[in-house]
Amino acid sequence: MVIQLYVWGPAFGLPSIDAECIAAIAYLAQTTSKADYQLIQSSPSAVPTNHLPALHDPSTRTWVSGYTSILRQLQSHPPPSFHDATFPPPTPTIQADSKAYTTFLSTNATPLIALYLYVSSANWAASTRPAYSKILPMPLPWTEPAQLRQAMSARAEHLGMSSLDTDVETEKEEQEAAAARRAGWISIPASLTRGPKNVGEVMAPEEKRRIRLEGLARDVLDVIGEVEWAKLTMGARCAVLGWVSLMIVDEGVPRRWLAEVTRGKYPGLVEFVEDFGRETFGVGPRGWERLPWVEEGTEVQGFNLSLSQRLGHGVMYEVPWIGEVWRRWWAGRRRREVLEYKGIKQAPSLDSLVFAGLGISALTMGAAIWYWRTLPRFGASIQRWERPILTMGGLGAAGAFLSSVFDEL
Amino acid sequence: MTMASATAPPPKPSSRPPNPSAPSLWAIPGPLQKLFNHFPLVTLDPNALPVRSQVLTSASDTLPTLYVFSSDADALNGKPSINPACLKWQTLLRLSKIPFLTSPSSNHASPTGSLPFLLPPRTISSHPIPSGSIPAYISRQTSTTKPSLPSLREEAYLSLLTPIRLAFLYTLYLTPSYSPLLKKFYIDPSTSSSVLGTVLQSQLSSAASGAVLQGLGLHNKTGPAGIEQEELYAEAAEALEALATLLKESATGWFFGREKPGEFDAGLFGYLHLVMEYMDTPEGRLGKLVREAGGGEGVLVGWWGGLRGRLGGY
Repeated sequence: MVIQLYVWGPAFGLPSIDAECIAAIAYLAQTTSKADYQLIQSSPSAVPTNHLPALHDPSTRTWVSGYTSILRQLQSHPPPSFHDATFPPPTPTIQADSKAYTTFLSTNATPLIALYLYVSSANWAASTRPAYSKILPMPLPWTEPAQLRQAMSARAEHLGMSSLDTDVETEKEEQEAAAARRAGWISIPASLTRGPKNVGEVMAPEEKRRIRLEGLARDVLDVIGEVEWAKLTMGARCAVLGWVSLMIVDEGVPRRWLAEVTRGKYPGLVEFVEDFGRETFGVGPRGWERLPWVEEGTEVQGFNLSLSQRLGHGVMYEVPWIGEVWRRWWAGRRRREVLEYKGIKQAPSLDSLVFAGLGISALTMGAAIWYWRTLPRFGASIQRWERPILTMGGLGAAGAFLSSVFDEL
Repeated sequence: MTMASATAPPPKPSSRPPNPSAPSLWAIPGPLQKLFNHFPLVTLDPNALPVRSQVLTSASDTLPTLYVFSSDADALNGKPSINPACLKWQTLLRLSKIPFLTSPSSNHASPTGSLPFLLPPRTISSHPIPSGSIPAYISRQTSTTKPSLPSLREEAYLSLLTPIRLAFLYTLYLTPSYSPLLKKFYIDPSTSSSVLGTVLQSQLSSAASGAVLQGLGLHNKTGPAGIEQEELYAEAAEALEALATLLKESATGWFFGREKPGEFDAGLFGYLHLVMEYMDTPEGRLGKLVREAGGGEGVLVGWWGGLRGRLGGY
C-alpha cells in the first residue's frame, strides 16, 4: 500500500503554508517515486497525532508527525522506490552538521516566520488568515486559524515583539483608558487631546521596530546563509527549502521586512533555495501541482472524522476552563487509537466510567437544585390559606340573629 | 543592621527630675514613674542569624553570590545546582576561577523572574547581574578579553541543546518513576506541607508539559498525552550523536577545539551532569543515550568526567 502524507494545503504559491510540511513534501518528492505516496491536504484536527505534517504508513500501521520523525520513519521503513543518495550519510561530520542545521532551522527560524506571518496583525489579516480560509473546508476556518495563531505566537514569545500585534496593543490601551475613567480621573475627550501626529504615531509597528526585527532576522540568516547546503544531506537541504521559501514570501504581504532582508542581504541562500525548489518540484511557478495529490476523504484509513466533528472539537477547545480538560482528554484518546492501531495493547479505557460518573453527578446536581428551589425561603413563616367554612356566624348581624334562632329551635 | 537596632535595649525612661514648681500636664505621676523604672526587667541578647545568612553576610561583603536552585547544605558547600541553566553559569564561573558563593533561591527572588542571577560583592555594587551578562562580568573580573562571539557553526550546534532539554524536561517532570527526584529537587526545599507539595508538583508538571509541547510545535495546552515519547528520545539521541561527532573532531578534547572549556561546554555540562549523576538508572533512558552516543565509545561520558575533574569538588 502507498504511504500517505497529510499536510497543510498550498498557499503563497508554495506547496504548503507550513515550513515543516514543505520540507516533508520536498523530501518525498526527491526520494520516492510518485506511485509510492499520496499527498493529502488536511488540518491537524483530522489526523490522530494532532500535528501536521503527519505520515501514515499502512504497511507498518504507524502514524508519525513532525519533519524529523517522518525522515526517521522513511529511512527506517523505506517505501519500495525510496532512494536517498545521502543516506546513510557519507561521513559522520556531514551527518552531525546536517542534524545541527536542521534543528537550528526548526528552533530559530520558526519564531521568525511566526513574527512575520502570524504575530504581525497586518500580515495576518491581509495574507495568512485569507490563505487559511482558502485551504480549509468551510466551517473549519472559524476555529482552526485562531488556535494556530495562538500556538505560533507562543513560539515567538521569547523574542518580545508582541507590539506587532496591534490588536492586543489597542485593546490594552482601551482597557487602561477605561480603568482610568472608572478610577475617577478626569478624562479629556480624545478629539481634544489629539494634536498633530508625530512621526512615531504615523509609522506602522513593523517600521518602528525595523532595526530590531532586522537584527533578529540576521542572527538567524547569518548562520544559515553561509552554509554549503549542497554538501549536506538531502534531509537538511529539504529543511532549508521549507523554512527559507516561507521567509521570502512577499506576494500579497503588506509588511515585507523578512522577505526584504533575506532577498537583499542573502542572495546566495535565496538562489540556492529557488534552484533547489525548481529541481524538486519541477519547472514552472506551480510545479508541485503535478505531485500525487489526493482529495481528503477518498483515502483509506480508519481515523476519518466528519467536518462537523472537527468543528465540534474546535469549538470545545475554545470554551474556557472546560476546553483545557477537553484537549487533554481528546489528545489522550487519539494517542490510544494510534497505539491500538499499531497493535500495542492498552489498559482498558476509563472513558465510559468517567462519562457515567459525570452524568450521574450532573443528574444529582440537577435534582438537588430543583428540590432546593421548591423549598420555601429560609426563615419565612409558612402561610396557609384555607377556604373558610361557611357558617351562619360569618354573615354579620343577620347571621348572629339567625343562628340564635336556630339554636333555640 | 535593622535587626540590631530592633533588638537593642530600649532607652531608659528619662530620669529628668520632675520640676516641682511647674508640674506639667504630661508629667508622669510619681508612683507610676517608680513602677516604670523597674522595666525592662531583663534584656535578652539578640537572636543569632541563621547559619546560612551568617556565612553570606560576612563573606558576601567581599565575594559575589550566585543565586541558584539548590538545597541549603549543597549551596553552602558550593555543590552543583540541580537546575541545568543555573549549573551552566555556576560551571562557567567556576571555570573562570573567580571565587564566589552560592545561595539557594527561587524564581520569585530574582529581579528577572528566573534564576540564576549574580549579586556582586556588597561593598562594590548592589545591582544584580542577570545570567546573560555573566560572561561580561567574568571578562571584567579576570581582565581577559571578552570571549569572541560564538562562531556561526557554534550557534547551529547550540540549537542541539533544545532536543536534549525537551527530553530532560520530559524525563524529570513527566515520567512517574522520577517524581521522587523531582520532589527532592524542587518541592522539598520550598515546602514541607504534603498538600502544598502535591499542588506545586502538579503545577511544575503542567508547566513542563506546556514547554515540551511548545518546543515540538503543538499547542501548549494539549496535555502530556500529545507528546510522542519515542520521537522525543529519538531526537535527543540524534542530537547527542551529533555532539559526540563534533567532540571527536576536536583535538583538545573540548568543543570547537578550544584550549579550555568555554560557554558551550558549560551549557552541555548543565544537562549531562544532572543526567549522569541522577538519572542514569535502569528506568531512565537518557543516561543510556549519553553513554551510547558516538558509537558506544563513551565520548561524552569521558568529556563529562574530564570537565568534572577540572572543576574539582563536583
